[in-house]
Amino acid sequence: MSVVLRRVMTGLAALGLADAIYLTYIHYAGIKPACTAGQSCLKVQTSQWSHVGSVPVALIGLIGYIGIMGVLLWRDREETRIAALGMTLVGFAFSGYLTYRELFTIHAVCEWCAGSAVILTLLFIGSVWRFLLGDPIPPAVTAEEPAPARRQAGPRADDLARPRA
Amino acid sequence: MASRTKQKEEARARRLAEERGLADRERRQRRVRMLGGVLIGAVAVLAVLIAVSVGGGNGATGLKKGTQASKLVSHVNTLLAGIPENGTTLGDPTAKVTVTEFGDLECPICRDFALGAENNLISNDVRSGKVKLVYRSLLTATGNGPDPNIFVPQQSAAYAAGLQGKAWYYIELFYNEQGQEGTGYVNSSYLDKLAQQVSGLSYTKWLSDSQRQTLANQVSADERLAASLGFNSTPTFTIAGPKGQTQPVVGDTDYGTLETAINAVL
Repeated sequence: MSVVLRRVMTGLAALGLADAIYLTYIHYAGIKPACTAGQSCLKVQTSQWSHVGSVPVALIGLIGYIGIMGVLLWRDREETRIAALGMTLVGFAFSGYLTYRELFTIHAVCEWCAGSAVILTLLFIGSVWRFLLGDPIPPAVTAEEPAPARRQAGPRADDLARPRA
Repeated sequence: MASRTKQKEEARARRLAEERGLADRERRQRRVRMLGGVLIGAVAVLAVLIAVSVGGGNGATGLKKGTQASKLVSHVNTLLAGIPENGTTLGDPTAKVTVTEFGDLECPICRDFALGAENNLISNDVRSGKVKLVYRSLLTATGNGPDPNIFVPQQSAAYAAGLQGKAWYYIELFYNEQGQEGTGYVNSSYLDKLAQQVSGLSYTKWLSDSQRQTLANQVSADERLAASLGFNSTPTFTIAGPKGQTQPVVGDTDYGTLETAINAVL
C-alpha cells in the first residue's frame, strides 16, 4: 500500500513540477500564459500576489516541487515521510491562501495555479496517509528476532511436559 | 524444572513486552516531537510567505517592474497597435457605434472589465472599425481612498497621453498595473513612472501637458455629464448607434451583453 501511495504521489509531484516549470518559464520569457478563460491567467500572474517579495510564486512552486520529489524518491523512512508531510503542508496551505486571493481579491482564476493547488491538496492528503501508515516493520519487532534461535536450541515447553519413554 | 523454565519464559516474555512497550513509547514520542517540529516549521514558513506576499514587493504601489512590466507593455501594445486614437477616443472616428466608458482609473471593477470583456471589444469590434470607444472620467474608488484630490491629476495624466494619441495605452497600462484599492498608491511619481512605460510617448511633452488646466476642466466636464445622466458607479457604459442609444450598462459586464447591445443599435 505504502509503495503504491508513494508512486502515485511521485507521479502527482511530477505533474506539479511540469506545471511550475511552465509557469516559471513563461514568467521569465515574458510570454502570456495559455489560458482557456480569456485574460484570467494574465490577470492573476500580473497581480501583486504573483510575487513574494521579488521572487515569483511560480519559482517558489518549482523549488517546492523539486523538494517534494526529492523526499519522495529518497529512501522510505520516517524522516523522509515527515519531511514530505511538512513540505506538502506548506504547499497546500500557501496554495489555499493564493486561491482565496484569486477568488476574493483578484476575481480571476488561473487554471495553471488551480491545477497546482489541486495537486498539492492531493499530495498533502497522501503525505498524511503515509505518515499515519508509519513504518512497515516497527523497530521494536526486531528486538524479538534473536529469541526464536534460543528457543530452537533448548527443549520446547510441550516437549518437557510430555512423559519420557 | 518445567515450572522454572515456564517462569523464565514468562519473565522473558514480560521483559520483551516491556522493552517493546518502551520502544513503542519512545517511537511515538519521537514521532510526536518530529510532527510538532514540522508543524511549527510549516507555520513559520507560511507566516513569512504570507507576510512578504502582503506587504512586500510592488504590491502596494501596483507599478510593475522588469519582466512583469515588459510583459504588460507588450500585451497593451499588441492590443492597441494599429488602431487609430484621437484624444480619449479609440478606433475609427467614422465607426457607426460609439461605446462610452465612464471610469475611474483606481476602480477595481473597471480593471476587471478592462482585463476581461474590453479586451475582446477592442480586439474584435474596435479593430474592425465597427465600434469606437470613448473614455470619460467619473470619480468613484479614488474618492474612497486616502487622497481623493489625486483623481483629477490621475485622469488628466491619461488625457495628456491622449494629446499624443496614447490615452488608451496609458489607461490600459494603469488598469493592468492597478494597485490595492484604498492604499493611496497613486501619486505624481506613480503617474510619471507609468507614463515612462508607454511606448512611443514623449515623456517631457506629457509632463508639460499633464499640468494643463484644460485637461482638468475636461475631467470636471466628464463628471458633470455623468451626474446629469444620473451615473454614480463605474464602469458605466453608454452605447449609441444609428438606431439610437441603449439603456446604460453598468459594472463588469461580459462581452456577450455588450455585443447584444451594440447589435441592437446598429
